[in-house]
Amino acid sequence: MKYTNKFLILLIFALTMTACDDEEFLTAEYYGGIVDANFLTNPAHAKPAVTGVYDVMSYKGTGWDKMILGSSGADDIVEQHGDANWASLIAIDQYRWVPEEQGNPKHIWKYWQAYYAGIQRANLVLEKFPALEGLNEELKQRYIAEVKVLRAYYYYNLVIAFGDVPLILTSQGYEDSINVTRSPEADVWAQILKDLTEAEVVLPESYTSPDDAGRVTKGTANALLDQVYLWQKDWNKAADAARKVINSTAGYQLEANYADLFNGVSPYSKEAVFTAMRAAGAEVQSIWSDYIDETNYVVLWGPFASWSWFYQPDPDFVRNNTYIDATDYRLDTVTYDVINEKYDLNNDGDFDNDNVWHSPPGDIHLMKWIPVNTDLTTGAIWSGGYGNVNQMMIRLSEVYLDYAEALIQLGNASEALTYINMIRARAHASDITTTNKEELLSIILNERKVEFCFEGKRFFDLKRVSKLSEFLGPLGWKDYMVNYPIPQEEIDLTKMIQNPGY
Amino acid sequence: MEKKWIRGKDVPFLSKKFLRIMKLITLFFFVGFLHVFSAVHSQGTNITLKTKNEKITKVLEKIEKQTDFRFAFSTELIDVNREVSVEIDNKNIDEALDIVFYGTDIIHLKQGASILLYPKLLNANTTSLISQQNTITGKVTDANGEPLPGVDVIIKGTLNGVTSDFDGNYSILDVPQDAVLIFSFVGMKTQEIEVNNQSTINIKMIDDAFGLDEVIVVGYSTVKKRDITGSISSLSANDLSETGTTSLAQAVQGKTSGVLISKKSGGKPGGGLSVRIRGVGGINNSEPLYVVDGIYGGSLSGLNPDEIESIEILKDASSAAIYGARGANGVVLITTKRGKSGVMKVTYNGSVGFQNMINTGNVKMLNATQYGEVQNTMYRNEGKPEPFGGNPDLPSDLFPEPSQLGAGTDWLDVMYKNNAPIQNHLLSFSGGTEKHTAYMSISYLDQDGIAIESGITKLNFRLNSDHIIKDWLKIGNSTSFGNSTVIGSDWTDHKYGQFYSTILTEPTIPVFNEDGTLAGPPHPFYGPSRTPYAKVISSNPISKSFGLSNNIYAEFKPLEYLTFRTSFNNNYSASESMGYTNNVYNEGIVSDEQVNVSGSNSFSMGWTWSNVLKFNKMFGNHSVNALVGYEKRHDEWNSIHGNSKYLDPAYTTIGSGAAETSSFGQYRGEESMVSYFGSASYNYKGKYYITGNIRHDGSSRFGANNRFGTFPSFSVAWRLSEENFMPDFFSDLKFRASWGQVGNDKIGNYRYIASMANVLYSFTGQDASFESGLVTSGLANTDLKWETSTQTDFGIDMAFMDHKLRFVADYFITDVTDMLLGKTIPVTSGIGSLVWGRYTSVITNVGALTNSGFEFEASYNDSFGDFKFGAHANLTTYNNEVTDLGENEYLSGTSAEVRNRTYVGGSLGDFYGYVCEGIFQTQSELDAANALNSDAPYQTNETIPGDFRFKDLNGDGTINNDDRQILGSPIPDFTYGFGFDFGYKRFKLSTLFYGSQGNLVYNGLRGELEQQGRSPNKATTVLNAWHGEGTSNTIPVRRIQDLNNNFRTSTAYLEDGSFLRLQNIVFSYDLPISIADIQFYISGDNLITFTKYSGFNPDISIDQSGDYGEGNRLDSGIDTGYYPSSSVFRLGVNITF
Repeated sequence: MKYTNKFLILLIFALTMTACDDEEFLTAEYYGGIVDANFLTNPAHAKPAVTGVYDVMSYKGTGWDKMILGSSGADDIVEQHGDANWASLIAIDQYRWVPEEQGNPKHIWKYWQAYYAGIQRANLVLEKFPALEGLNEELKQRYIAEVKVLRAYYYYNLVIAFGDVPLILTSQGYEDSINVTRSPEADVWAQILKDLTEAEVVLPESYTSPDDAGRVTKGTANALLDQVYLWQKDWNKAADAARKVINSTAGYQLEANYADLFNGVSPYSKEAVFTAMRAAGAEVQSIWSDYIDETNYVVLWGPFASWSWFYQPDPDFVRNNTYIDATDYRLDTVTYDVINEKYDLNNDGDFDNDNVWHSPPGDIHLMKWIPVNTDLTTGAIWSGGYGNVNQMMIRLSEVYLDYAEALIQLGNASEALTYINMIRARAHASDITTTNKEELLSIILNERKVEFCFEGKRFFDLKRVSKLSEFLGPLGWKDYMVNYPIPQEEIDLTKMIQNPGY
Repeated sequence: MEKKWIRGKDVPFLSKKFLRIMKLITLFFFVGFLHVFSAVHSQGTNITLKTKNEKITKVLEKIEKQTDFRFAFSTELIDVNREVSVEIDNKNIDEALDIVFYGTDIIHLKQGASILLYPKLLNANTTSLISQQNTITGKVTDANGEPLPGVDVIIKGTLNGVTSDFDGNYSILDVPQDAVLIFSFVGMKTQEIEVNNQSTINIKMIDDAFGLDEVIVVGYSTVKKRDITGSISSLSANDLSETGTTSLAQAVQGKTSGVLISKKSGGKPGGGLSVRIRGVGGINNSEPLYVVDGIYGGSLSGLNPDEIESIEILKDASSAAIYGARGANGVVLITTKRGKSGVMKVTYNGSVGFQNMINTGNVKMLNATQYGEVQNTMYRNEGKPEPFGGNPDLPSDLFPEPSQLGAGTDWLDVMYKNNAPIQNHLLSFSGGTEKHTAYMSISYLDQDGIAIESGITKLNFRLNSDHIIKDWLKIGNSTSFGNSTVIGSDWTDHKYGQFYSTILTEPTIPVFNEDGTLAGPPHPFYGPSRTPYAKVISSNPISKSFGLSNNIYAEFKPLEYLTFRTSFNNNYSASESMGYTNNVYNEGIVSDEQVNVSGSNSFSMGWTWSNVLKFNKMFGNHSVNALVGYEKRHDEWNSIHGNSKYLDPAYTTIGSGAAETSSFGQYRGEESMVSYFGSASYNYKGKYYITGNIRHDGSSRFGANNRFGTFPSFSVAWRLSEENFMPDFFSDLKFRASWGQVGNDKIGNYRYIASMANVLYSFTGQDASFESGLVTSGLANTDLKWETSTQTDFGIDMAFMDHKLRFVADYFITDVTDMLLGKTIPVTSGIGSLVWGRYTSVITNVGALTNSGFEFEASYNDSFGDFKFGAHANLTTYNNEVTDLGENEYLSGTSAEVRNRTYVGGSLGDFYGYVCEGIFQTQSELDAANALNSDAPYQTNETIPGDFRFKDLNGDGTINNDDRQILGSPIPDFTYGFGFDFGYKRFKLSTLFYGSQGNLVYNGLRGELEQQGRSPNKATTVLNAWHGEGTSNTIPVRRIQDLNNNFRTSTAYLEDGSFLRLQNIVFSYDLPISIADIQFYISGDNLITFTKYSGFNPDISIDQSGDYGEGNRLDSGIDTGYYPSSSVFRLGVNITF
């Protein structure tokens, strides 16, 4: 072998050692879309970023889990037929609240998770929008205001359920996230007020396009403000805020028929102040579940849904309600009492053999958010759509009752009666005439229970007026349960301290 | 006295010299009986020697010991008893021999490494000796019947010898009738055959399992086994094929120390095994690196064991460090068979067998009657009307008296079958000329799953060839092609898998209705899900995959001592999967009306280019080997998947216009790696060894800040048995010590990036009208860097009784630092899946742990006439201690239910929970407990006699989170394997046992099968549930709800997972015919397991964890109802001609 060949071989080897740029070679192209490092560096990211903040409203944590904490944890919903798989739900219903929920789903955990997810998304927007260039300034300010209202709403739900909660206002890295501690409730309330008052002045009274129907408005901000002030017993400010909603140029008005609030016939009700929008496409977004494969939709609703088997209106409340007038149709229209067999399910002219398979006699099923055209024999929707009824989180009737409560506290019973009776009239119930303050406050509490039955508000109403012990004590509620326990997993992962009693 | 020649099939550049020697020997054969001394020592060394009245033979031996020469002479012609006294001071060999033979007529003639000694004058006596001799001819073959060229055939006590030719034939002239022929070959047992008037002697050479001259692959180079300085386990083709198993990992299991193999995915066909080298590694993926024919990556599953020539397992850092970054968990080097020059050899290996689920008797489920009784008991205990037998609210035809329910449906029997067939065939051709050799094989596997409607078929093709083009250039290739088809409805294997749902289905639900249609749950009393049978029968998933790997190399040899090898590998794989589920059904209370069609196609390709320059040279007694190399690797992949739903079952493809909904997705990515490496080793006289390696790796898996890592290692060894002062008692004695660092980047790609996720929200509330949102799905960590494993190893190799008895021991310490760990992010931060309600983790470098342990291997092999006996055993101890967790007090697993916690000072994934003290037997016992704390009940207000009593660890009179503690470890104290081989004439029996000792298993499945609650089906053990004082202390009273939370993680379900398994037994017989070698065998795998564990299978992989079997080492050892393993019986034949 010639020397030239030998050196040629060695030369090849030497060349291969040096022939390329390692750094460039080692940079793997990422094809997965936008990454966090370049998120919100482009004005095209602005709208999706804001949509992401709204997105948590389509999850169970802000839907059914909110209902469970507010209603199963109170006296309008009872757990039925539960087994070990629904241990978390049973525990809440039976006042065995523990930080380490058993079974799956874990309702307290999911409630906590969903609202904090919304807060993280909002924080990112509020942090990065000021530096974002190329976006119409007016739109930018509106987006910022929308996000502030949403962040306030999320904190509001956290603070009423848990008391002191971590007040996080910036995006977090891992180290921040595990060093999180609980902030005093007052600080959280102050931040909620700050966000709402700042947003209120920017937001429009209403939007012109139905494409924006689900967005928060000045009315949303004021309705939330009124509720925050009620919690703070600042009756004047509560009344002022409520009055702004009532007098809004958005033209809020009560839906004529109570049932139409829940059966999907009136998707853009004038009564809606803040709505969690539900729609179906590749997936169905519903109150009950985060992600429903469309093939399952036939078993989603009412008597047919698996959760309905466990989450049932309290029979005592529905059947033996002494408060409600005989003419008041509200409970009737949103429940299905299997004993009463109100539906001829098999269309044979009588009520024999009409029990839905999920409904042994004695059960009562919830019919709120059941589309009006549901086939009650199978659960299927007769025509069109997937029955994903929009869920009003705040509606005018609540603002009326808030306003009435503030007025009563301020000594203006007569004006309060106007608003109470508007709601009662819609319900075909008789007018209230008393002007006794205590009596009226008690009536308002009852009215709220019926008007918003099973919607997850009852526990928090009782908590706000310090009547948990009176109403829930006999059911097993104990004094320390004024706040829900913080999920144990989160206590374990962070520096938070548990609520007393757990 | 050593009898090895300088030569060998693996050292082709020496063979010419050797042939010259043989020519010379043949030239001198007429001198009669020659005597051989041989040694392998350095030439050109000067000799220093002092003797007084020593026999000439002794003196020659001493010279051999100092040099590389050996002497050949006839005892007839040289006076071996002559005593000499000499004093030689630093003379060369010629001068030294002149001194030794001063005054005689003996001439010394140097020829290569041999020195012939003969008298100047040959006389008539010598020629007369020649005439009495025979000529003997014969053929030498290897164990597989392949002709074996180059075997030394020597007449005992002489240097009279030849080598077998290209076809294995030899012919040796003038052999005395009472002579003994010695057949020897590198890596094979030396055999002595008495001539006894025979003129034809055919012989089969047998591999020497303890052959110290066996050449093994150690990463970019080869080394003789005797020269190994690190800790390496080596398995040859024989070790692998003898078990008759079709799974390579299974063939390895139990055979070597330090290698822990456990089931990764139960007993499913196609399911892999998890391989752990020396302990449990770090927290993340701890699979070793697999290198097949020099090419990184891949796993064992694609290979047929019969295709494999050898497996080397590099256990310590000094061995693995040449693989640097990816060697932290050890390296498994696999070398496939290559052609050998000689006549074409054809081999067929085939087997047929049957598989059966094992240990199914360990857990018995309630039959229908028992189910009814237990349900009634449960309702009766709660004071509620019993459902079965006269409940007015329930239809009497579906809820009769339990006794009328009969046995009902045995779902395990419905869903799993006995004697599922398996067949495996391999046909190979091997051979070639001196310059061109090739190996070709084709193999086929057809395996039915033990679950109905499941199975796998695999077809593999391989072509390996080598070509010597010039004396300085060699080229070759390794090409393999395979495809496989997997059918099966449910290959998932976790808590929610098919096996789990099968055993939990109620026996009162029939499989079919009376009209032959599929049945479903008949009443809302049961859960609203389809039966497992209906699910399986109405879906038809199939996945096919195809892979091609092609490796070409060229090896240049510009100088005698310098080799440059460049090799390029490219590989392609493609797979497609199609699923069709007919969900148009109406079964009992469940119905649906959609057809779900899904499919995915993926394609990936990659290449590796590797360049290595090697230097090998002897300088006298000094042997130096060195290499430098450079390697680049790139992979890219893309897959597209879709899903459509139809109302009509006639649609079977995705995305047609009739679809109710369709969705599509794509996953695309790439990965690159660059490595520079170097290695140098030196030894002096085969006694003192020192080796150093270094590797510098860059990986695209890390952010730009920390892509490169550098990993060095060193090792030393001392072969005491080479020292003159050592007694012959030791056939081999070597001390080894090594230290090194290796890395780990097994975290998946793009983990330093946090991508934004897309979500949908409808502002209109109208269907199909969504706006897309962007949300954070994880946290980025641009500072991510290599995990480093620092390993220290001390070892000793010993052999006695001419290598019949062998012993190896090692002690290892592995410190893993900067552990790559997925740390759970609190959802308070807003990060975590809202859809699934799960935690997300961020990969960080955190903490450290230490794995240490002892490894022992011992073996004994001997034969007594027709009897042969062999025994081998190995044992590895495991000591895992977490030494640092950063600022974390502890780490938890990812399961919904936290069952493990890892603390500093503890071991990875320790079980964590309550201590169960048995059952509250009486109300007064319960009352006394409740009185302990005035503020709270002892457990819950709903606790009743018959519920578990947990231990009040902090003594505050109430049970809460603070009453949990570490309960034990899922990591075994030690694992072991042992086996025996018995041979009698043509019969052979081999057994192999494998065991694990001291590991705990959390029997979550038993928890499910014995827990309170109405549904689903339970184990028969609940028939003995507590029903009054003293009736049970282990199974709680039957209640409709578990209000005491008896099912919380506690010692109640923690069991000893130790086991001993008869892994493999093979009985074989060689047919006594000459035209071909034919061996029949019958083998059994996984036949008996001795264990106290009450579940189906104690062999829970230490990293099979989490609810979905996909967690990390932080929640391990939890049996959530995995597929049980199966036994396999096989009948097979090996034919070679």
